[in-house]
Amino acid sequence: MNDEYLWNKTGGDAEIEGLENALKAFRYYETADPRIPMQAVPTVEKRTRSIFRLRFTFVFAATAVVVLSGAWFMLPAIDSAISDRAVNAVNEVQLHRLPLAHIPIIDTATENENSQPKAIRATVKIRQPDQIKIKPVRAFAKSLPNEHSQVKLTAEEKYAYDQLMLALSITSSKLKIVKDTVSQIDKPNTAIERYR
Amino acid sequence: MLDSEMTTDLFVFARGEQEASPARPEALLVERICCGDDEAFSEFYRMYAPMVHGIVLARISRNDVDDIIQEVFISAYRNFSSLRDKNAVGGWLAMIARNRATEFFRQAKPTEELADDVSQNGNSHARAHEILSAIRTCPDAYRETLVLRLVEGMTGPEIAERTGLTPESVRVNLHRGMKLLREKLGIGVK
Repeated sequence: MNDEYLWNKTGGDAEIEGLENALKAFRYYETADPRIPMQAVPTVEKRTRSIFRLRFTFVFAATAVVVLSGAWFMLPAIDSAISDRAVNAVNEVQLHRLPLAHIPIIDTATENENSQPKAIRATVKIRQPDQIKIKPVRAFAKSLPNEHSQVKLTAEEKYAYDQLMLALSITSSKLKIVKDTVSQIDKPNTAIERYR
Repeated sequence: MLDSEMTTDLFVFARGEQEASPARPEALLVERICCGDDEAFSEFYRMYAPMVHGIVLARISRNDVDDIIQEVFISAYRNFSSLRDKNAVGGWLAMIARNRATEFFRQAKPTEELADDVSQNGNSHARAHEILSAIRTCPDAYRETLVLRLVEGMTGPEIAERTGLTPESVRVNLHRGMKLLREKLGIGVK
């Protein structure tokens, strides 16, 4: 056996040549111009798609976090606003629907003497905010009085309503005085006094 | 100079020499393929198809070889970006071909391979099948080298260049494989 022919086909070896000729039938022959198969996904495009998908996922996650955190901080404010509005609306509705006998009549004559309103009939039950059940938004919107539908009051009702508003304003002013006194806002400013 | 310092210098020199090695034509082809050059892929296919054919033919039936070649090149095309050393693309492709052929051989049911035209050149085809069957019974290293040499007609240096093996390994495998094949075929046995 000629090793040089086996290695680089120099010289000759009949035995090896016979094997080559016999096995030539199995040799690879190019039948058609090789092309990139259709099912092969381009490498560069695949990387671009994966990067784009990653970026999209990141942006989506960041947006979701921002929106959720914003909603988390906004919810208490919205909730308190709705509850305040509900309390006001319920009080207003309650006020409009009160029968005349239940509206307190304020004695304005005693107001100057004692500086405190005196309720003759104090049968009005003012609901506390925590006792009010907040309705769902749609039901609450339906329950609100329409702006165009004006409630027509009789002369007596209107007088009672004015008296009630006056009493409430006086009460609130008194409460403000008490609150300022408790908070010691009325004390003279020490810094100004020192300056003087 | 301390031994450790000398070792470090040698390591740096060896690494620098490796980095400075020029890119081979196959590596340039791979770069072009990664950039989307279809013509480069055709050239790459023509260059390596005989090697892949030989490696696969050494393991599985001839009827399934073409499908496996397609799968090998598709797999290579999809994973060119993961190839770190573009100069070693031959060995990398040969490894893909070996793995695909082995995987197919495990999954395939045992079949009997028949010649295309048994009626006509029956004797020559029977002889060819006998030789190929004998080659397939040799160890992996020998049969792969023998198929590339005897079937595909590649020389020893070409086999070494395509498969990424050292020329010495190829030469030894050819010599020992040929010796084993002669024993199996009864050639030269008195």
